[in-house]
Amino acid sequence: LELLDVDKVSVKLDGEIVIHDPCYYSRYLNIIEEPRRILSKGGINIIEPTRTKRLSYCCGGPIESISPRIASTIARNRFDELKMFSKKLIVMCPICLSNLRNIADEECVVEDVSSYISKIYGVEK
Amino acid sequence: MRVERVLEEVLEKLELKEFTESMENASMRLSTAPYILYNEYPYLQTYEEEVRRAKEEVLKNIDYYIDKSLKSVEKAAGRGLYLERKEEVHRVLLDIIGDNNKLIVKSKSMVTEELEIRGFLESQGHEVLETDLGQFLIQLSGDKPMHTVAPAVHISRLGAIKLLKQLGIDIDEKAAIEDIVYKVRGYLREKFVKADIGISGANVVSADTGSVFLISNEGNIRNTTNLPPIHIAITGIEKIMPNMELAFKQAILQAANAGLYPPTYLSLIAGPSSTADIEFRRVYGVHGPIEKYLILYDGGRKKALENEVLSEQLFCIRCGRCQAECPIWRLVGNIWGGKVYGGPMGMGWTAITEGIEKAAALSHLCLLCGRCREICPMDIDLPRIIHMLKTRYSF
Repeated sequence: LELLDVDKVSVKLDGEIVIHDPCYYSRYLNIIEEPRRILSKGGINIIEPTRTKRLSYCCGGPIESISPRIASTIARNRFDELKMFSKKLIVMCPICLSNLRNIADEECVVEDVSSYISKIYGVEK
Repeated sequence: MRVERVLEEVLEKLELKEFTESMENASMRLSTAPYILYNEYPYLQTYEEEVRRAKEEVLKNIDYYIDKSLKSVEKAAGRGLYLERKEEVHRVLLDIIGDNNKLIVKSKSMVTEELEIRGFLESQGHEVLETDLGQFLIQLSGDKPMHTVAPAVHISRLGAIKLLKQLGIDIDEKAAIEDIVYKVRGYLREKFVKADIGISGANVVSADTGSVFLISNEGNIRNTTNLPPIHIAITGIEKIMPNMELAFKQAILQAANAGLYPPTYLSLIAGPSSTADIEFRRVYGVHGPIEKYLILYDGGRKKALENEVLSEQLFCIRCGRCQAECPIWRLVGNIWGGKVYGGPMGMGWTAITEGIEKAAALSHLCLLCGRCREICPMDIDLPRIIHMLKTRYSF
């Protein structure tokens, strides 16, 4: 995400998505604006949930190996918040992806940022 | 202690719907309030750094500040003691209180929980009553305090009514929260007047004057520290601030981060009550206490100062803000914790007061999501402390 050249975004998508910052990117690595810049350039309207950026809320995934029950309870809490903003969710971490997908209902789509990136850079049609 | 046992306790609570709903509702309110307050009173932000720097100074020279605080207390005609171990505190309390059936009123204090003062004094034949409403309900229920500032966040209206009924208080199941509070007020009022001793904690101690700062919204602390003839304040050595101005700043910073601002009452107690009205001779014990004691308690704190990672926990002003932001704490409160402390700050405090081994088992439930570090007004790197604890657990 830090290395991608925003000016080379070649495809415009449309529609709106709600963004879920992973704890590790936002609070540990301070990667917050990079994905937003790239996705906006690709025509995507990013919606910020209540708990976002440095105050993003954990998906519960890190505790799954110890307790799937606790992990899914936290994921439910986060998912319910995100889906109030959009039925399309974008995540950036494989743990968030799997944990939020596990409890997502059928009307919602949870995608990793990479699948959007490959589209807006014209790698994938 | 094993991780399996920690997990068992947490999962058990997760099945109780009334409990988890009360926790979630309370957490939502606790976590939102400070944002609104910081917006409305922007100077709170500037206090954070001043208080943090003052704490650095105090912790670096802790022996000097303990000594200075005690001397200041004596200068104000109080008695100051520094005690390292729980048994010493118990012995000193018995010396002050005596051994025949005293009535003791207490305000809420985590350090007195650490010292198990209520249980100890009861075992010695004294009657001890918690006067903070939440803590009073905790005393009746036999539960652990669920939050530093709001210990009974998990008890519902109906739960509270059931507890009062057990005590023999006549109250209807349909009673509103206002009625519950009024009943407790009536019950405790009589006890305040009759009490022989008042025991409190301290939100802050000012080293230059020996004054104790106490925050309250219920008004119970004023009654506890003013009506009985003897007042004993007990607190940890990390609560010392260099002077009155900084002590005040820490006190209100704690209140705001607990979501209560302005605090309804801020008591500043610098010694026993006194008068010099007759012949200009100072006489102690007028309307307030005749005797005032300050006990500064170590309980593992100085040892923690030697640990580069764990020592950060001593910057904690115990506002509980990290708890309200923690995904695990929001589910089960202080069930995830040691005997006294729980949640993010509870990992470090349990390590200090009960040992690293115990805290290490608890720490494995932490997600290391880092929200606690983000909002801590003292900028404590809580995930770093918890990460260190995780590495100290042997599977």
